[in-house]
Amino acid sequence: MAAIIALILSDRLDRTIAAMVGAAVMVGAGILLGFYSEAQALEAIEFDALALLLGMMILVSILEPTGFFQYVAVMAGRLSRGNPWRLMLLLGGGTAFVSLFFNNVTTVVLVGPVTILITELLGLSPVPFLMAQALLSDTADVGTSVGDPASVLVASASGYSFVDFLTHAMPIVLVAVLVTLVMLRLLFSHELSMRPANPQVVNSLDAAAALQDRRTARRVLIVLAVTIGLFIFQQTLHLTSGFIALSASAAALVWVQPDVREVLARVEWLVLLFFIGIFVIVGGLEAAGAFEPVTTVLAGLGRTQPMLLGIAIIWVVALLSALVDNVPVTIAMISLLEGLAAAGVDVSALWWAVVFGAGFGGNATSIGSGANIVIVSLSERTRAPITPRLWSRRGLPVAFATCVAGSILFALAFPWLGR
Amino acid sequence: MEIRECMKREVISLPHTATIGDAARAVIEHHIGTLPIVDEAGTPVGVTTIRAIIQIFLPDFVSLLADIDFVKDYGSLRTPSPGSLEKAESLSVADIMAAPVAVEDDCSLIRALSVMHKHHLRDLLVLKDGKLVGIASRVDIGRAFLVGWQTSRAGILEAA
Repeated sequence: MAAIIALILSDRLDRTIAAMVGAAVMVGAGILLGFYSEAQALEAIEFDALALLLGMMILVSILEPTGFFQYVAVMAGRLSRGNPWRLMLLLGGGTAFVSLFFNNVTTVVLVGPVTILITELLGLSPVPFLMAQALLSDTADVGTSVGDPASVLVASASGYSFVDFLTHAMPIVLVAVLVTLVMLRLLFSHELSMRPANPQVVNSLDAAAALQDRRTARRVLIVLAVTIGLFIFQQTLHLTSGFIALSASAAALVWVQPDVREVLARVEWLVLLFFIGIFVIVGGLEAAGAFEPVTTVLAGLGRTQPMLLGIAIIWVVALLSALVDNVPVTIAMISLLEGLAAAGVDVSALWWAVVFGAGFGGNATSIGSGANIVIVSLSERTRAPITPRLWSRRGLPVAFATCVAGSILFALAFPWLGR
Repeated sequence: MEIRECMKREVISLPHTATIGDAARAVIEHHIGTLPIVDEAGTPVGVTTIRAIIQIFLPDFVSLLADIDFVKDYGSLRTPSPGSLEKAESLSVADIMAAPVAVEDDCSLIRALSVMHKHHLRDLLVLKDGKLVGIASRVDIGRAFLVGWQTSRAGILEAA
């Protein structure tokens, strides 16, 4: 198992393959040594989380070819009137807002090239703007229960609803976004003070032409609006997030009638398989009692000083998600918290600590989040590639500042968060 | 008809040590779009085109976006950026050349046209015993083929 984790970390083996092999090994070992059965492995898989992810992925996939994401970026460019700071606010803010609902990796894949376009036309370096998009969307997307896989997982495990996320996580996330903006302004002050020679070139971008399929985009957005409505009332309606998301995707598919094969080809099955593999692996570790020593140590702290434990969780999860994908980290933390709950600790506020750590920590390194990796690889195809060192020089301060802000707010809001 | 009857026998080629500047001068002087890169023995080792040379100067976004029609004004990109000029000075043809696609000199026109169609080529290299002996453009081969078609049509109409 350590070998599998090492392989995922070192990136030598595709992470989905590593997760699937790990899962197979875990179940095999479990059966042989008697600590884990197939039934237990199946139980470890959170199907609601998977259904939610799949449903949202299908919606995004239908929306992608309409040019909607490019349209958002072009509008940001036009509204900026060529001013660098306004451009960063609009592009970063726009990306962050979209990533509240749709996974930020896909958003960044589509919006990033337009960002490069706009900065090239203005004669600016794309680096600050690309990084702003990644950092802001990483920070913001944990504010809803659907924006980031980490939130989806925590929502599923904790039972917190979409509205709970809006009232508990979102306020702190908004402050973190503000902190990020301030940091960006400071870290890129030199680049942001440049005046493009011809700012009016953004006016020539034909936003309407960028949005190639207006009708489909409108339909998908309407479905999304209804979906959000259902999320808000999901507890009254007794509906699970997964059911809502899959029904929404079915509704969109029947209303739009796209080429289903193409839509499904864009769904990230690798991500879903990766999740399943990690669920099974962590479930096995839990069944084998691997978390027990940690749980025992932390349970003591959890009973006496839960707020401190929460802050510790923010930092540990942040550190881990800077180095590794935040999905395995989150799934492992969920197991840990479930163990703590079984040991009599009140974990209701601690779930949020996991959410904040997962969201803010990924900013620190160029591999900390899927969006960062995409941005870096896009930049490598331009004249201004972002090196891992450059990323850390800007991203680490942002991650640090947001974790500090998050910790302070977590401490201050602790009673509220536990409700 | 076979390709050797419609190909050009005077082939302008470059050695693989040539720079982009050398390639540019060849294009300018001879008004050609495709430059085979050959070794000392006359065997083609690569090919570069005016398209590949120009790509050095195109903005980054062109290769990153599927649709660029909505960009109406290229602003500060109307002239090549210093970055692209630097890049052009630092590269040699070996850095931008593609694998050569060639046929033997007794190749049929239909086969030649099919190969060009598949590889999206405008010019096809022609070899004899592995050595470059000619180059035929889409117009050269296509026209020869269409002449053949029109001639046979006229023959059928006459006979009818």
